[in-house]
Amino acid sequence: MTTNIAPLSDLDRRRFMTRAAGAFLGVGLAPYVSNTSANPVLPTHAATAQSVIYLNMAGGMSHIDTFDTKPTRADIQGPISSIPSNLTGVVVSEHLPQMAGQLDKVCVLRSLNSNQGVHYSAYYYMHTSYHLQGTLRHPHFGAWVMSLLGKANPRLPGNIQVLGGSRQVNHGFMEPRHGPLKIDDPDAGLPNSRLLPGVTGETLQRRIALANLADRSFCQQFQHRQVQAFTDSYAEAVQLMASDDLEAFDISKEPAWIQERYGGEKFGKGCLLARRLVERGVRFVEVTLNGWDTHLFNFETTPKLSRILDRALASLLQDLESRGMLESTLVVLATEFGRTPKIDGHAKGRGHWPQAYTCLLAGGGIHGGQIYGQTDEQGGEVVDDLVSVTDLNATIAHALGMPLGHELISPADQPFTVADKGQPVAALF
Amino acid sequence: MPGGPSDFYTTWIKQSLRENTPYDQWVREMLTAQGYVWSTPAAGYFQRDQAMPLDNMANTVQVFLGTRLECAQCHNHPFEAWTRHDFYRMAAYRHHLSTVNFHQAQWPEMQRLLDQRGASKDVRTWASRTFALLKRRVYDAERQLQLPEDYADDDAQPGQVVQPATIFGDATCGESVCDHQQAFAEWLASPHNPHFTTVITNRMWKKVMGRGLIEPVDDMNQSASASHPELLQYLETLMVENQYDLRQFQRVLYNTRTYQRAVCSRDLVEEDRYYFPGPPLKQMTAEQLWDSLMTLMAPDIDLRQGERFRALHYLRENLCGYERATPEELVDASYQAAEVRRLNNETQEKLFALEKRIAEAEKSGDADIVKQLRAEVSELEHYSNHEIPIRIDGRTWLYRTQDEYRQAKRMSLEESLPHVDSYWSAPERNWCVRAAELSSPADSDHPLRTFGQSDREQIDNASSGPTIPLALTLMNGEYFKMVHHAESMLMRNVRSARSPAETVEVLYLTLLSRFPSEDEAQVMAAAQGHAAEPQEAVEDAAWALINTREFMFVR
Repeated sequence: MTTNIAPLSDLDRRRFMTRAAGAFLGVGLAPYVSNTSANPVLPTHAATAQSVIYLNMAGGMSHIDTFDTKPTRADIQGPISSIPSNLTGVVVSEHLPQMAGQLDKVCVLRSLNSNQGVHYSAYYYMHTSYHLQGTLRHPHFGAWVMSLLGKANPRLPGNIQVLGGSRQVNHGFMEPRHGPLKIDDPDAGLPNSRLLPGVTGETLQRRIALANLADRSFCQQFQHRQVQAFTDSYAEAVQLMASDDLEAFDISKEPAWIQERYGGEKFGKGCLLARRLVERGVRFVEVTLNGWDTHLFNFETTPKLSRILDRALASLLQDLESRGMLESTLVVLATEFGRTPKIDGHAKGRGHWPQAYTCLLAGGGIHGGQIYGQTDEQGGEVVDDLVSVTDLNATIAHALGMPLGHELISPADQPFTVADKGQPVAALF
Repeated sequence: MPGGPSDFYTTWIKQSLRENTPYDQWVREMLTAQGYVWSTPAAGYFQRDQAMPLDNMANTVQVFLGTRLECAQCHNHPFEAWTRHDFYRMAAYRHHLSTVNFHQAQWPEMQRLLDQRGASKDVRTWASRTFALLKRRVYDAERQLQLPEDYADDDAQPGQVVQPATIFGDATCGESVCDHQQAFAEWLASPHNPHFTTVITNRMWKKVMGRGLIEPVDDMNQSASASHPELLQYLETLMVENQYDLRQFQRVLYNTRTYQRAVCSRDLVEEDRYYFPGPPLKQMTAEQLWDSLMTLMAPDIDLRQGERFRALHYLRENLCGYERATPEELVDASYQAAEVRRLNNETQEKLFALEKRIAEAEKSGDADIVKQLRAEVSELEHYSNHEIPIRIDGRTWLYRTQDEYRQAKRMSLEESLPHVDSYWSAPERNWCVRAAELSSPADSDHPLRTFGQSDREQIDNASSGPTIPLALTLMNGEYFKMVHHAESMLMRNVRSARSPAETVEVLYLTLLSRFPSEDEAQVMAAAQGHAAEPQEAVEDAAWALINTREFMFVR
């Protein structure tokens, strides 16, 4: 089901907006057009970052085979060797050659510790700061950003997830519009954001008027939150269709050499898309690289994924730096847990290991060139400067200037904060 | 089931539903299956959690017993009585089972043959790929479960072998019972199990009424109580009396006045207790939304089988042959595959070279040479596709002869195509089938996923609620062109209308299952009557009705 789809011409777009903005599918566009961050919470401290690019290594990235290698322990390390980095005395996996030359921009956190060892629960904890429970869904970190800070660019969604699949935390108990907008294919940009061929802004306006008429009695009878939420998302969708900023989603607008630099993999393209979005004022972009759940064939899979990650992340950092954006953009490399030091000889892989693992922070006020925290010689336990999941999230929130103590109340009257009881790691700034 | 032929499992599930296999029997089949998924499709249940037997146990207990044990996988449950030891005792029932058989009989002999023939690295790579599929078998690996090295509670030692025991109810199996897999299935899917009947009863109630008597349905902790305990008690008895006949059970529920009442207009999301003021308003699931759109298009929608399920019979035969292949045959196949790949690479190089020459010829404006080169390209392309080993789910599966397989597949496609409608039976419209006829999960860029379909990474992982992409898809999606295509069900219905007023009626009945109100009829009919292009007016109205909240919600 693919054909060429005509974009809205500029004339169409202006005409369309002026006519349609009045009353749209039962609601005025006003709250969205004027300022979505209508009630941003006053920050308690100055932000060091305006935006976050959160690279999610889904499945559990082996810390021992990437940024916390154990070259002296052949039994733990297996066949992956280590190479020196541009930080004295610091080594990383041989499959991260570009990042080895970029560590001066990065803070390597080698002392993450989680208490969640099942994929979804661990992913959920990383993204919400709360444990998964049956009765309530907590909001995604990006939804917290939307709720507490609002959009920096009111015309674009502020919370975007690239390549996440449907396995995602959403808005939780917050309004659905704070939840992440999902992009499944960075090449395709934002699917269906252009009118079908032959459809003009005028046609659309006529159709919307008819839809409003047909929907009037239903919407009057069912004044439900979930119904209203649909109306809201239609309004936002239409606003987006009419916006020039739609171009931010089109990575083919980048010069060829920049596209080339990020690599041909979807993840690399996702990172490039993230940079374009952040450039246009999107606050929170998450890009996922799947496949790190290496119970089987760890020593084939992890190097392959490392290469993809290496190229994309190194290019992203260089690109941000050369555009002067690295100072205001916090890049986070995160994963739900690490992997067992012990190699499972039967399956040639590693199991889940939340006790100790590695994440990276760069830009956005973070001091680069640091190794923070340490694991024991097997990579099994944190021996120094333990960072909890909530501490990591508090650190990201702190960089964005979000008030850590600001409580939002769930429908069941329970108070929640952006990073639960986590404390920002002051030494990183 | 990532990387595996999940279609066999899916087909088996659909068949069990169609034949209305009693639920308890169905569950037992899943829990006792061993073998390859193409010959014992129920084995797909365990294959899904490949190499993660502990997760499979946590999932099993959650789905069928409404009990969340995954916390106890790593530590004692914080709010419940389960200890970590309890979890391991449960897991011990099925721990001897493995999904990956590294010691499948053919492998050692294959290796010997490869050595003997001095096989190249390429051939060896293909040998391991050829063999990969045969490793994926649920079998008794004769393993014992040991407590993990970090086990720190006083009741047992790290590394200690765990004896199976159930977390609640009567363990029907003593330690003397040798078939632990069987014993566990008997214990779980039994009317005597305190949770088994409650969970399926509550799930069916929720499916029909929109809200469970216990919520959430898969986390009935020990302190959870039903909102209407007497009702639940009654329904459980009904379930057992009907011997887990789910169709009969639903028949009872659908015939209640409770179900047949009008949907409640209050927003029940805000209310803690539910006193049956009418069924709650429900948003369509991703699958319901997709199916709603598909039924507007193909008139023969209920006869349409998904492409991937049509050739399954031939695939099964082929795989059974594969399963019985001798080491010699597998090694021969590996040589063949390596050779095919080499030829393909060669062809690919030739194609690149030709393209380069075409570009040069175009530059110099030599039309004849361009034409001649293009002919060479199309000939190469024609032949190159003939020899490629067929890939399914990212793995390479070999067929004894490609032509044989292709012919079989073609026959099977022709056989099972419904000859109801010539326009819609064209292969390029194969995508127009109900969600159940597509792979689940659908590809990540499929509209079903935009509508919130689960990725099946986790239990009940579908997402609901509106998103911008969903609204964009419904407004600007390609689907709409097929909705107003002359051969669509909707347009066929519309053509039967004899006046603008009737056209409006047909549109309302087809899309919203109701008649238009007087106001609506008047405005819509006027739009139909005055339109310069009648087709355009119909498209406007169809688009408008699909893009209402009323279309999106189930009353």
